[in-house]
Amino acid sequence: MSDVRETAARADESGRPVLEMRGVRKRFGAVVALDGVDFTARAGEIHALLGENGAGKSTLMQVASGLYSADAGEVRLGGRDARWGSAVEARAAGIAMVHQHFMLVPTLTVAENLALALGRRGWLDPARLAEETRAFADAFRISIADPGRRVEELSVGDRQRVEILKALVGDRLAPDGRPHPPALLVLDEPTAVLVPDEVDVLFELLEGLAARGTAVVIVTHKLAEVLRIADRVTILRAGRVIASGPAGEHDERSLAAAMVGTNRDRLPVAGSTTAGDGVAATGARGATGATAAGAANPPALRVDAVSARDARGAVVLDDVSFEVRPGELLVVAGVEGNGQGELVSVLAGIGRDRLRDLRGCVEIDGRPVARASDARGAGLAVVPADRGREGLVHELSLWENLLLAEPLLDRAAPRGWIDRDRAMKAAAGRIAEFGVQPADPLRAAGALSGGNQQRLVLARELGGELPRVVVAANPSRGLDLAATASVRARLRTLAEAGAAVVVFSSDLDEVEELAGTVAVLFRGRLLRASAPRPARDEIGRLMAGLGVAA
Amino acid sequence: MIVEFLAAGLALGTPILLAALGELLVERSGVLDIGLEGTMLVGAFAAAVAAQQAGTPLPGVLAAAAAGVAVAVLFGTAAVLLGADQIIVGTAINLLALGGTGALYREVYGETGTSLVLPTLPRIELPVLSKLPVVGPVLFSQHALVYLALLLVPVMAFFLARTGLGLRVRALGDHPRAAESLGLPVRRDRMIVLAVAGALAGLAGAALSLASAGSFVEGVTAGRGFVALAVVVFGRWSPWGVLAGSLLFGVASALQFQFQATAIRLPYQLFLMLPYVLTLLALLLPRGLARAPLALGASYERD
Repeated sequence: MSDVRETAARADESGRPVLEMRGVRKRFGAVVALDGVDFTARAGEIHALLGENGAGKSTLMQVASGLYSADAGEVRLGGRDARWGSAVEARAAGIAMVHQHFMLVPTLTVAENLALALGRRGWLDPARLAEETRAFADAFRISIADPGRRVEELSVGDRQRVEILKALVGDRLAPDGRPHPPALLVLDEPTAVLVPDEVDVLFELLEGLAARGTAVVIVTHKLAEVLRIADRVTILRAGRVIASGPAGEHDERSLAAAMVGTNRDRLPVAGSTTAGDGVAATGARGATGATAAGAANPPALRVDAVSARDARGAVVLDDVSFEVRPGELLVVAGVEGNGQGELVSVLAGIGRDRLRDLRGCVEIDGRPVARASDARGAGLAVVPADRGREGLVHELSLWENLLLAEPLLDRAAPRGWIDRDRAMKAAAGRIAEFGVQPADPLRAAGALSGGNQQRLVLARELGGELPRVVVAANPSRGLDLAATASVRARLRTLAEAGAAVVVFSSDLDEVEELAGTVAVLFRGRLLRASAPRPARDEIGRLMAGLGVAA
Repeated sequence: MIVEFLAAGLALGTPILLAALGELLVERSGVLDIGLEGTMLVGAFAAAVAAQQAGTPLPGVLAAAAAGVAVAVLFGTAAVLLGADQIIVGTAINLLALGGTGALYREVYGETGTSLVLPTLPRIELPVLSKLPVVGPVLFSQHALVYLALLLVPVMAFFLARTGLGLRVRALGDHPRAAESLGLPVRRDRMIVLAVAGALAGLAGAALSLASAGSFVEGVTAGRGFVALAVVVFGRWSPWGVLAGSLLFGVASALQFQFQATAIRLPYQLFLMLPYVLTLLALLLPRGLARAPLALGASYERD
């Protein structure tokens, strides 16, 4: 692994520009995604690239990594003009990208994924592949799971480390098939799916790589993390660089202000910008509301001893019971893959056939819910976790998707058939209210960006009359700062107005900011914390399965 | 008696096995080629014509493989390269093959009703093994395509599990975008896999027309291509499972002939149904852990 040592030697040149982009422009049709962007990543630094949805962060990194070519401007890597035809060429030149959606084949083992990336030919000996994988992992000091396990069996954190290792060892173009560390490593929203402990491990890994000379760029929304790990920060807004400089010159408020623009009214009021007083205040208010409502009303949603196995026979839900009263907000914290998806399925009455040995019962206002039609009829609104796949019909237009929820359909079709004018008007109202971009009701839902698909689902589920029960899974994933704040505020408002609200979240900031009663889902079990509103540390520990509280 | 059933089952299951092994490979790469029936039929026809012209079976076998490749490439051009719907293209291939071979057959051989008499594949007695008592003479005295099909089972299993190329095939079927991100040419690789499978489907057709029967009639495949599709599912996308499924169909077919020969007074169509009914029933068995390749049937478009 002499290349690794070479990288170590390069650490002396820390501060040398690795990637230089000057005046980069990129248009997609009429939309200007990048409008003359300058960006420099230096050897040995961790550089955070910040910005709201559509600010151009991803486009910029895709230009850097060869997925898109710039319309104008220059891109230089290590002082040389860099123009490559594909991501593979960019990688061979030293730019590695870790995508937010992992590019790992789930059915292959860790070692097989690496062998695929390295373009291994001929006979493959599993033992030798495993050994090779371990050697690479040791060389880069990345702790990975058993190389013989399938990727789909790994936790998200483990998968991410495999993805990083894959990016680091190089690609099938590496002439000798030996590790070939990149000069630049780009990670797109790397912490979005991690628990706090996994974030710590990731940051340690990134700091180690930077110390050995790699320039690391993380694309992110999370301000606290930027301040924790980044040496430098560049903020994009609407395709332009708003600020770029040492991270030490910023605090969360100044970063947030730069990201969303000068209009301070759009900033979240409490919670996400400062983790201190604001949260406590909201928390206290929520608490009194919940208690007052709780004493008076019978539960709107009752889940009693629900257990289930998945198709493979593994226990995914283990004796889950809880009640949510009208006006109450329950936040179920937990890392994805601990039963959230299954519990949402059971609550919504959808996809139950994917579960085996389903026991227990779910009641809305005392009536059992077995099918989606029961649940909807009883006044349930659902924001599913994978809204791109489960929440929308991609081929249908925005207005048609909005009409799939009955109340809006009733309004658009008062005589039984759809009145197009009414439908369009109702849809346009919702689209504007939730800021879906582009605000064209005739556009196909599948053509929207991820964040906007999310807004569309939220518009349909949360925009109408007050639902009896709201079930939302990671409601703010993929949304930018302003939209996140407004969704969280809306969920709180719905609860205050008398809906029983259950939010599943893997984001501790969100858990704190929603300020509801907190429980944690871990390996299919619902864990109660020591208090209805436990400290951040305790939630983090429970999510990671450390120290199960009574 | 049982050994004879097995031997007959082996021979009758061979066309299914060859076709299903090819389809298995194609499906593992993410393509669903339901044009299998048509590909087999074209292979059977090409085998018949070439063998009849040459007077020996070998040119028939080669022609069948070549015809199978041609049909698969036709399918691939529409369904993989041009991104057309795989089910529609496959159905079109089936209809085209049925009509095309029928028309050509009548054109070449007339509508006399007398079926062709073709040179048949010789039985090859395997040294040593065919000398085994009882089992030997029956099981190890088969035509070459039977041995080829059996040999392909471990070869295919090893290829998929233990070679770099096999790894690529599996990656194509489960996460083509990841393969693309590594610079692998998704559609070219799928075309190559399709061509290999086409050759195997063609050979399956040759096994039908040049084996014991030694004849060709219109629609000679009689749904065996669809049975092979079912066998891939039954076999959980594994070569050994496909072997089991093919043998099941083969033995059921042998039983069906046996029943027809007995004095049981039932309409013979009931017996004809037997292999198909058994295949259907087998599909209803609980399928456990196995699942289809994740990207099966989805055409791959680059961004």
